[in-house]
Amino acid sequence: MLIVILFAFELIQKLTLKDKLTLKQNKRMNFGIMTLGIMSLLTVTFNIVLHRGWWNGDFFSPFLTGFSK
Amino acid sequence: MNYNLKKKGISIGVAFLLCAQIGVSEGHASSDLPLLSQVTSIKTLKNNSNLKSNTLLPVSSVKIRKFPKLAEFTQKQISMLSQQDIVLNFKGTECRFTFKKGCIVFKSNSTQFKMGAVIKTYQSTLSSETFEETSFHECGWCGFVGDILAIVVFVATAPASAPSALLLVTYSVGSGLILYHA
Repeated sequence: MLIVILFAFELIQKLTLKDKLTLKQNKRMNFGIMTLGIMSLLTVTFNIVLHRGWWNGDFFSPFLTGFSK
Repeated sequence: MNYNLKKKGISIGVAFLLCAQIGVSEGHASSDLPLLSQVTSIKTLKNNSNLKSNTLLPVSSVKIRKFPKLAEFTQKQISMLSQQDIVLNFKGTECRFTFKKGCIVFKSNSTQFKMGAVIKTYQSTLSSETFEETSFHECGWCGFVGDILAIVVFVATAPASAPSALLLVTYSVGSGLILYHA
């Protein structure tokens, strides 16, 4: 869930600081939002499907060890 | 179907009268493994009371249907199954592994399989799913690593002006939590 919070923070920053950012900062932020978005999506999905609790930030181990409960 | 095959790593396909697809449970991980099993031959003993493998004399062999050949057990696997007294429960029978070609029915409630009948068995697959199940449940550090990665990505990509406020808030909340529980 920490990943989701960080993603939300970065998204809010993106919306509020839209005009103040340089091109480089903007690109970097887009990358961050994309990465954190995918990570948070995977985390939330795995936490729901695998019944792991909301605060589990593990988004990669099911790819390595299988998707069984 | 209930099979008493406790040894991990070996799944067994069993030849039986009606061609069917069955799952053999071994251990806790591979219960959903589908194994193709088929009829090849069923041999019956003349003297049912004599169940020792070295005295087996099959009197009839009925070949019902031919399928691609599956791997037979090795002598090492058979001796392992035999030593551990692993029994196969199949259609109301209990079957003991003593030689490579199959297992011998030593208890039977079935009319199809009499005492002393030989059920031909195959080794169908070698399972590695026990690794997957246990390693998944034991991966306690994966959540920590995921969170750390997210923090690193956030710090690296968020603009320099905003994280100071976030840092202050998280630091305050973190300190508050630590002090509260102290």
